[in-house]
Amino acid sequence: MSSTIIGIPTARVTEGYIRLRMLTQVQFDQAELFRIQTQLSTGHRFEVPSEDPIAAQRVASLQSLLQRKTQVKTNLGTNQSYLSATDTALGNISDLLTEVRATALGVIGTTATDTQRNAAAQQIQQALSQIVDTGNQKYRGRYLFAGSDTQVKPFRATTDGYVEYLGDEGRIPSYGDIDQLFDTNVNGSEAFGAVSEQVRGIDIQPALTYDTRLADLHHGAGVTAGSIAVSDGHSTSTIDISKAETMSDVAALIRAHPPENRTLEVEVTPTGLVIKLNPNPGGGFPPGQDNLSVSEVGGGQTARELGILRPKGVGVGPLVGDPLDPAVRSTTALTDILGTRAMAFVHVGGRDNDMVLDAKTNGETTSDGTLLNGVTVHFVGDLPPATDVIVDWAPGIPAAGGIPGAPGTITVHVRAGETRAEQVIDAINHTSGLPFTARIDPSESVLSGKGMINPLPADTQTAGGGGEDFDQAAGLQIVSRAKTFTIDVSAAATMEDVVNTLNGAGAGMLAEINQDQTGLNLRCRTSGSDFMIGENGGKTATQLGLRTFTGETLLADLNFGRGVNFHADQPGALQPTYDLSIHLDDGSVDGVTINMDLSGTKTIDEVCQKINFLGGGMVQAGLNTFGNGIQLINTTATPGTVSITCDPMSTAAVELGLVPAGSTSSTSPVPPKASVQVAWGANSGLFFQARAPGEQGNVQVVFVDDPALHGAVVPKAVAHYDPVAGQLIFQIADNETTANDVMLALTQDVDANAAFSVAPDPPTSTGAGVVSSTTVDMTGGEPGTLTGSDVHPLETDSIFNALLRLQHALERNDNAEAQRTIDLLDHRTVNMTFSRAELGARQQGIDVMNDRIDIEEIDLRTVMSNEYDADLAEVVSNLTARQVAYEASLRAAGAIYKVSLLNYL
Amino acid sequence: MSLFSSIQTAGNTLRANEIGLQVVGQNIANANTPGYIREELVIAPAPTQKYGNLLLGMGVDVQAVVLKLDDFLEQRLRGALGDQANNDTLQQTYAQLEALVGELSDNNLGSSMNKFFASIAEILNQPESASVRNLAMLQGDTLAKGINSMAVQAGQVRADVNTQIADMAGNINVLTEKVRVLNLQIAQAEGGNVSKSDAVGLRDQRLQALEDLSKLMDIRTMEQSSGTVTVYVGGDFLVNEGMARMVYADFSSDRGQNVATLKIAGIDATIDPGSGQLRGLIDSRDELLGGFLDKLDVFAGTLAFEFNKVYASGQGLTGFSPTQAKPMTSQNAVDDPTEPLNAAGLPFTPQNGSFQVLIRNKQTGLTQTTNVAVKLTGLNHDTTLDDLKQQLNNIPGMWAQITPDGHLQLAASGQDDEFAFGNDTSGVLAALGINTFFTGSGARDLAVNAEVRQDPGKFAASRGGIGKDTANAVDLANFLDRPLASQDGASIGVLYDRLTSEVTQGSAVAKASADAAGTFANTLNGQKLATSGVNIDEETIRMLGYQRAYQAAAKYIAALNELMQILVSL
Repeated sequence: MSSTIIGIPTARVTEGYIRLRMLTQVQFDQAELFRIQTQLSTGHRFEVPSEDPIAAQRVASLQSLLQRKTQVKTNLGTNQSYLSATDTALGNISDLLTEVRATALGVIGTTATDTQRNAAAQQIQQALSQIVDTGNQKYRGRYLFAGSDTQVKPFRATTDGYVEYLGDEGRIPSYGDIDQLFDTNVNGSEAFGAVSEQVRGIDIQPALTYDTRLADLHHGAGVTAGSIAVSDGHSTSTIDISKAETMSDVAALIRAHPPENRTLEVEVTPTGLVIKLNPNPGGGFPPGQDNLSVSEVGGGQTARELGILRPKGVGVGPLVGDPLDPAVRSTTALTDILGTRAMAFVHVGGRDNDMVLDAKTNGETTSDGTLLNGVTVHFVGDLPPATDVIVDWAPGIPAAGGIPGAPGTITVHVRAGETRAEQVIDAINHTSGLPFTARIDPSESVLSGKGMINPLPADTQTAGGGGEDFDQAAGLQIVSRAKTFTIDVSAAATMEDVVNTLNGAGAGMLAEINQDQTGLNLRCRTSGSDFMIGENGGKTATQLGLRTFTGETLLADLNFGRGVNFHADQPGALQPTYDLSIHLDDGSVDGVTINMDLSGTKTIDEVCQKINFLGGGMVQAGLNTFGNGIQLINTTATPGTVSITCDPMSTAAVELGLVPAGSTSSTSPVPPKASVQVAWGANSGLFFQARAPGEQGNVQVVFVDDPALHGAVVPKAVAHYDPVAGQLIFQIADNETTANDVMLALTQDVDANAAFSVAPDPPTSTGAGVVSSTTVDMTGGEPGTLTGSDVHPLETDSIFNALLRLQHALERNDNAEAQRTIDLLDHRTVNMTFSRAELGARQQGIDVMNDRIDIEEIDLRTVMSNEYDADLAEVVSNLTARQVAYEASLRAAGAIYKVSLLNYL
Repeated sequence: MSLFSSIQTAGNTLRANEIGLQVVGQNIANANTPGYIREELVIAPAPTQKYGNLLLGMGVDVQAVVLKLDDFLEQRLRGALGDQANNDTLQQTYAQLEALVGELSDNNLGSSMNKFFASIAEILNQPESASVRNLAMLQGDTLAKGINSMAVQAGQVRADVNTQIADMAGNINVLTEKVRVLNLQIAQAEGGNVSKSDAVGLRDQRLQALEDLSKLMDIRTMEQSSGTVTVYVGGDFLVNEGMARMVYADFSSDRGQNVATLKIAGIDATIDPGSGQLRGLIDSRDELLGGFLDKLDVFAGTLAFEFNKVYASGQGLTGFSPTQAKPMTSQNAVDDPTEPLNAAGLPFTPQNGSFQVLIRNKQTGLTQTTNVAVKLTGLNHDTTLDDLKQQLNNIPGMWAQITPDGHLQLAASGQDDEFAFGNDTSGVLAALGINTFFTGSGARDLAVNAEVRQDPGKFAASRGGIGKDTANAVDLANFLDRPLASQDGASIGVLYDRLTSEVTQGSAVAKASADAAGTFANTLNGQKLATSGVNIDEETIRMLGYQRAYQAAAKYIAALNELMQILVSL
């Protein structure tokens, strides 16, 4: 219905017109009246948004905002209750701690009786169990201190007397406003210190691979999506990198969009990208004018983040990109850490035929010294029609004894234009002794190497090998809860496998990839127990930076910070001073005794160096091969036992772990001597043994047939000892010489007889059996080794740790330990105070947010009311006005209708 | 010249005035008849007679009864009526749509969305609570059903409009038939210009019929010399003289609905209505409702895909542990498992990226993560569903196969294994419909995934592993405001605002246009009434004039009669 009154025609006024006009008028007026009536009844200025679309849009968005603020208020309310429950719990613990402290102080270092101390210990134990209960408090279905794993009961008192934290260090965020998060929990690690701060591993330097995701570059900071511009100095190509997921994609994209009329090769080396400009095939520009450059597009930063920003160009190139520092991820392969493999990139024209050769191991050489860098990959197209590919490997000269050696050559014989890349790859991977594997270049692969080798690629050299392989075979040892756990990571393939193995070992440890994504953390979540991480015969723990007892360990940190006290440092010590004397059994009657003053050393390395120096080459100090501690090896010619006697004025030997606490001396076990049993037939068995312990006894016993001895009467055997080659050689006549002849021969050679003894085996053997050519190894010869203990235990600095240790200290009446644990307790109490203060601040923050939301809500409602609500006074006056107008118009219409000529006829 | 001839003249006068009164009577009688055209008597002095050298008037001559009609105005009025009907129809549709959207009410889609995302925010408050996750699932379900029902209702309105369009064929045919019949009658009555009078009554009816027809669609008329009119719509005639072409509804399918197109029988030409109610209905159906349904579809599809893209990177309180006997099946299928995934016929398009598969041992709680590459650069071998299946099968603990109809099926191969997904940068999980919250790709089939419905604990709130944290829920709760790259940075909230504000603005514009068109039509109608309408006072004045003239003529006859008497009595 029209809301406008139609105009009056200039010509005539007719009945129909009057009717039309009156009807329109009545409709309009009544519609207006009802509109006003609706405004009055609903209180809204409009009912349907189209009546005032712009205001309606504003009202709708305000309504939506208010709905969302309602949820925010719910969030604030719910989480305020969590936080106050947390606060109450922490308050209770604080009170308990104060009580415990007072009780403990009352019995430490005083004349308190055992009964009193035990009572105090008892009280501490009770407090401990109360705190564990409080730590396990559940509120509204949530374990308050379990971190983000809220369904796990966070604290467990183990049967062997420790407290284990099973929660995580996660935070639970909630929305305190649209787009604003706040944390709603305090985890057990923050509040109780339930996870140890140590050990945080070192940067394990993961290598860049074709599969490395761009998001993982720069330690996980990633690469900004954008474009780069690549130029050869004449024309420029803009390449959009935003769709790339991995380095392989980047390489493929750059390669696919070279500057006009040019081709590029892109390599993903273990550190960064390498871009090569292929020679101009058309020869349009002299090569000297080529200038390969990479610059940003539109103020982006993609090129810089890919490490290839070279706006001024690198001439003919190649452009070697900056290191990209990929992050350590759970999927990072263990072969890609700690070092890089030598690689060669074989570029062949055409598609699906570029190859990458990788060394099988990290490093510059293989374990036997074969050089991995600089190996030439040479292609020859010289094969007859029936043969597709032959690979020759010339290993070059291995590096040995400081002589650099020479790199080898891989020669690949192919039929140019007929051999496929996949055949070459297969052949390389099946070449025995070749320390390289080949694969198709993933950034060029279409069907995994169906492309032909045509034309023959230019010679290329391997490069980039460095660092070392991860020692997976040895594994590591964890000492925790007074048990030693040997962790075997030999089956692991990825970092996650290592983490899983460590977490699944039941050692009460928490393994995780660190926050910076550079390495591994191995932290202890058991309280009350010492923990140590050591080697298991290799270097696994050291490589990951997890070993807790290293050369760099400060003496001051040993023994829970009590350090090492040298004789010389004691007040009034008279010169000369000694800390310990080392006695070495060198085969002589008295052996060698060396007094050692170890003062002035600061680290374990310095201690070892000083022992080695003072030992004059007769003793070698170093870190234990298994577990942790200092080991002393007898390096005399006949390395028997090693003993240490403490100087009465020095506790250093005990504090260094060389002598057990409570003793004044220690002696290594008698070292085993090398030996071997060999037998040919009945009564031919022989038992060889070195006369002295030590590794030099581990020689080969070689029986060689000497034609000259055949038929001879005497001698039937000749012995000879070659210490340089490590061989004890017997010249014999096969199947003629008897075991007795061999024994006789040994006694007849002075050198051999001095070093080795031989006896029939078993002792009842007659020795009449004949022998023949063979070689056996003598094994088991070791020098005397004194293995020290680990005096650098770590602990989880938690409330539970302090209380458990305090309890035990009181039970043992160990005042020094009790005092230390009181300090630990104080430290934790301070931390807890911080936690509570932070909690209080958060609660206050919620109050502030709540107030702000309330005010905002009022503001929003006011604004909405202005837009949406009808002004009653205005509406009522509109109604009155409209009514009056309506009445007047009806009156006028009536009057018009009444007057007619007919009235006057 | 004779007295008789004078009497004859007077007789003419009487007859003329009688006819005049007749016309006045007719006008008065039809003063209130809608569509009635005022009649007017055309009279002229009768021809003169030569009498000697005198020329004498022979009285009055009734020439014709004509209709007072402005043809030009009539044409304009028809156009205006068509526009009015067109705009009114559009406005009515908009009003229905506006009611459907219910922008200012408390239970519109916007509220459902707010409630849904609020319920996800609630998961952050109580991550451990299965009932809170259940609520989130239910709110998601409500939202999905709200969108379904809006699509169904808008579709219903559209179907109703379509029915009106189909029915309109009948209305048009009735009117054209009427015009055709009247054409014949008028031609007969007027005798092809033989009569000078208009075929009153008949022409009124025909005008009314044409006016009614013009309300339905834009017509063009041309009056022939015989008095018949030819009615054109577009370039084709509907009525020509005594012939009319029937209109029929031809049905086809559009947006999953049956739609009618009006065509002219015989030549099968589609009617282009130009304006009028038919235009309004067609525009309502095709542009307005069809467009709205399209946008709602895009909105629902974007919501599903974009939400799922974030959701699919998360893990629930528990992982998936379907068996090979009863595997988990992807919601969406590819047409060809050997085609790259971005060209394999999935409803959503994945891009180059990767995702992670997490295999968790339920006994030890340890998780094994595997990266699955989705190569879609177009430069190397692009990943197909077959490749994906292969990669998944290579993961220890995972089993995958492709059904003959192109669905991917997954199962945990070990009894203690459960699996979950993470960090999907490719969107392939959302595109395939694996580990998604929503299923479906449009407004009508949007629903909550049965996996989540059966076990709301599977709601993927975590990102750090199965049941670990709430990092994914943090993003999902804020999804309403998350800028979407696929929508040029617009968020789903902005998309919804656009959808509703287009309806609101369109409705407001339609209302204003309808108002304007109505006013214009009324103004023209007023002008028409000014010309063709009856004014009683005017008629009264005429009546008095005829009356007086009649009296005078009678007196004149009386006077002549007296003269005749005198002559007779001589």
